[in-house]
Amino acid sequence: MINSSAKPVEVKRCPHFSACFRVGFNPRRAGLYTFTMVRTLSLEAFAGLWVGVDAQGSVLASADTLANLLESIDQSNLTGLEILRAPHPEDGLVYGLG
Amino acid sequence: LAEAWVYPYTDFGEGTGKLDRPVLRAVARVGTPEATSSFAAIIDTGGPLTVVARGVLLSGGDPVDTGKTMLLRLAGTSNEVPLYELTLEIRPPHGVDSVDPIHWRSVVAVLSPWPHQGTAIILGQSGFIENFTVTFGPAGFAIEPAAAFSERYERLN
Repeated sequence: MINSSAKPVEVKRCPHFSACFRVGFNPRRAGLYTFTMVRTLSLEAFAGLWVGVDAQGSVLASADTLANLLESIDQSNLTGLEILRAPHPEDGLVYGLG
Repeated sequence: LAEAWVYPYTDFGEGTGKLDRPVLRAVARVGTPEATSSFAAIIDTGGPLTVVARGVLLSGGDPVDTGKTMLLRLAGTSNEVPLYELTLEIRPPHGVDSVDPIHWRSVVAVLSPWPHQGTAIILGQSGFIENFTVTFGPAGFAIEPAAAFSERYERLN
């Protein structure tokens, strides 16, 4: 059913990895892993908007509502986009989901 | 046992808050079978069921209104939300194109306006965790068939 031997293409070394060390835990020394796989999206220019990003994380479509974005994607014949709402600084950071 | 789909964590650029490191989310690509696009879906082990933005229904998945509602508290808001039957599918990680998505049909809660930044779907226990084995690690997370758990931890059954 699920069969994958390939590696994710978006894997990058976490640019903030050194922060892990400042909380008193060195996972690399513990032999747990050598890096953190992080996909970092740069969405500042689209804060608060719904966006469609491609596999490289580039924004190819944006709109103020999800319905408008889906309509825009349909009309543009864009395929394979991943849809999400770009964070807005005024939203504040939600650590969890509750 | 089939191999796992391994995903990186995602930094949406939400900031760091009071931490000195970014908030990393466990996000997979989930869509409806008819759509070529997918939605960023975050895994919420504390969520009893999957929650979707209303716009997700527009993309397909044969949504059927159950006529029932539930009180949903999410991201500091409380809403009485409708429950729909909906077919969703999880897509493999980018770069893994030789395998088909895996779909399931379950009851989802539909929320509008969408309060959570970075995503359009929140994957909960009903429909998702009951169908998949999800392993969270320091370097990333992996998704496997539900049977992987019982096979790996057979001695516990």
